[in-house]
Amino acid sequence: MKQQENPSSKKKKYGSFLTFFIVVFALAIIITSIACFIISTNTVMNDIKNNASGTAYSVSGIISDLYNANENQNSGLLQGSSFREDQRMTRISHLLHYLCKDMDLTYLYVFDVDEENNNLLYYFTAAADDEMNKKVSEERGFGTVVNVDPLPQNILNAYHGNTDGGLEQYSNQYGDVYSWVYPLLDTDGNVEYLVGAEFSAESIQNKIIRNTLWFCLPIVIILIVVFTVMMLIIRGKLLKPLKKVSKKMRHFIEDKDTAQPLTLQANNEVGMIADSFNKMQSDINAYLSEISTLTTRQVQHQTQMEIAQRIQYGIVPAKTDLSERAYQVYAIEQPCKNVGGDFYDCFLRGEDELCLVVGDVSGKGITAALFMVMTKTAVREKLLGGLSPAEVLNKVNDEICQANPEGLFATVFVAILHLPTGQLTYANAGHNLPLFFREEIALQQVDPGIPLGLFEEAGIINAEVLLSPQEGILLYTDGVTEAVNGADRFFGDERLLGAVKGAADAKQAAEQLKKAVEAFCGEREPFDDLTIISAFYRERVPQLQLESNLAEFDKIKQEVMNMAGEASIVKKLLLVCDELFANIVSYAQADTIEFYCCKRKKDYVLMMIDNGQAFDPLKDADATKEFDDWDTGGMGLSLVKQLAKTLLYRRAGNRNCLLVTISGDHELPNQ
Amino acid sequence: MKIETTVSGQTATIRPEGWLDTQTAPELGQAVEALDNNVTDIVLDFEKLEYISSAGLRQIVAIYKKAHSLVICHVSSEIMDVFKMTGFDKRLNIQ
Repeated sequence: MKQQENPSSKKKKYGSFLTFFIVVFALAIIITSIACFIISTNTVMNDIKNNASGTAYSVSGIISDLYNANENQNSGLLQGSSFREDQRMTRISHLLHYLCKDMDLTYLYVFDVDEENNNLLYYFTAAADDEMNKKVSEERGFGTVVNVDPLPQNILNAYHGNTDGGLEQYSNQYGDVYSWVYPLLDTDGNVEYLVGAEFSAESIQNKIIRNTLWFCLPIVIILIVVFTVMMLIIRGKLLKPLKKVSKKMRHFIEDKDTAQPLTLQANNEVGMIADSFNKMQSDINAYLSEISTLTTRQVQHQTQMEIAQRIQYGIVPAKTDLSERAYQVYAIEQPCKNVGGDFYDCFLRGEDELCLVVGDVSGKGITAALFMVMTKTAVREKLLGGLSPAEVLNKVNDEICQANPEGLFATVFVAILHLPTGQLTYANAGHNLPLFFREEIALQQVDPGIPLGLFEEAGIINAEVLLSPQEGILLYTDGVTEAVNGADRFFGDERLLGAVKGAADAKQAAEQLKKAVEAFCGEREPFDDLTIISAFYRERVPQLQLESNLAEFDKIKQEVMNMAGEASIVKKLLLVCDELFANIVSYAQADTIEFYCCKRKKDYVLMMIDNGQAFDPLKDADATKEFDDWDTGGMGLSLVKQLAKTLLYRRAGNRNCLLVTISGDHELPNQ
Repeated sequence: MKIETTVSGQTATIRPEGWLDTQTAPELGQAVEALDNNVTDIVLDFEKLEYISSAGLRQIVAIYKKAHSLVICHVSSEIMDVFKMTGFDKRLNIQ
């Protein structure tokens, strides 16, 4: 599709360079003509003058020959009447007439001058034309006296001996003439008589014109020919190629893709232009395609990053601030420019369980963002399905390994806080160690597991800990610990621990840490996402508050039976409660005992917290005691250990906390 | 707790009913204490016993030591589990 011609270029009419040439040529011709004319005039006049003088001397020669041969040298024309009768006069007239013709004169006359009276005394007069000759012979015949006042200067000059000729021009009844007058001298140097040669103006003009033309014409013709040839050459060798180049230039962009190089066969400046144009064309094309590729790539990259950012922002909230009776959660997500694929998640599972997730996906851009979304969703879905952290991670790992063409991986940490009891179950898939806020703030050693997406059968395991109220955890990604400052130093674990000192709740801990990282980095732009999520256990919702008294056991019995209903496991549960309660009452020297129980999926969770002396019942029990020695109390704990799935003891805040989980299955776990 | 005691010559049969836990366990001991000195063989009939805890088990050990012979019968499956866990089934005569 031909591009629309630039409207302004359409309106503009281009003249041709040749016009200039034509103008110059015209001027040249005019000047040449003028020059020719001037030269011709000069030439002609000179010729004529030469003619005239030559003629004058011929005349003198003629007359001398005819008259002076036999006469006395001193006798001149003025000697009278013998002339008139002489045949020689006729002869002279004839000769003069033919001389006129020969020499191309109009008139030729021989005469004398009477200066005093301004008279001319004619001897002979001839004209070239036959008719005119007859006429002038009669009218200005021998002896005719004509009065001319004033006498022409050249006649006077000649009379006085000037041999120059002296051009005069006058009009009389014989027409416009140009006249030269020459004196003829006798042997003594005196002027004997004068000869006048006249040329009619007309004849002179004709001569001049003819001469001019004869001179001019060839020159002009040559000029025209040369000029035409030159014009053609210029047009062909210069202007046409220029037009070609111009046309190519005008259509450069629209022809870009089919552009052929210019071929102008020329070894001169024209060839230079063509070559330069071709080079420029290919240079520009290369440049354009380079820019195009670069821009496309840049635009693509930019778009990728924008989309990845949008995904990240959409999926992971920049901030989470939840504050409930039993817990507080505070999270911050700050993606860096080249979106790094960090995420966190926190939500309630059922009424009693708070799930916390933090993750970091390898790579950047869209693939990482999508992988992150997939991982986050899978983890959440499995968690909501009721699995423990390790089970969730193992299962998600297997799923990812099935469909991971890009070979990405993600480090993830999952923790579940059981709100009634404070039991924290957690598992690690290659992620950073969590920060635990307990008696001291420290990084918790966890089995490292393996990042998700690398190998099937990750073999990740659960770990458990019992949190007391006012205790919490903080999870983060290596956007924190590997943040760099201007001196290329890492933030590191030590600064991490230092930053959260004194924090008493999730928000404080997270904000303190974030500010510390920002202060550390200063002006340096972060190259990885900053992700922090902290959760603090606030309050245990009380269930039963009992006195340290065996009789109180009935209340426990009631509570357990309410919880477990008709399940046959009830007796086992009660047995466990019985033994533990009895132990506490007997040995802990406590005032109050708090009791919690709940069903957690298939398992039953029992918890007893007393404010007695530090007493870890788990330490005391010795399963290898002799049968006979068993009436000292170890039996009960042996039973408990055999019946329980997990047992956790924790001494915190002047409290003994004992947590027991009993499997809902009928089999005895530990025999 | 309701405990039924039947004496026949040297043998006494004791039938506890209900829950033998920390609170009620001493009653079993008292029931045995209340027997005559000539009673040397004890039979514990656990037919009506629903539950036993370690306190009850300790009572059984005490009885076992004191008596000439001890037989426990009509043990429910749950209580049997407890005996198994504590190894009582190996030491005691359980029928």
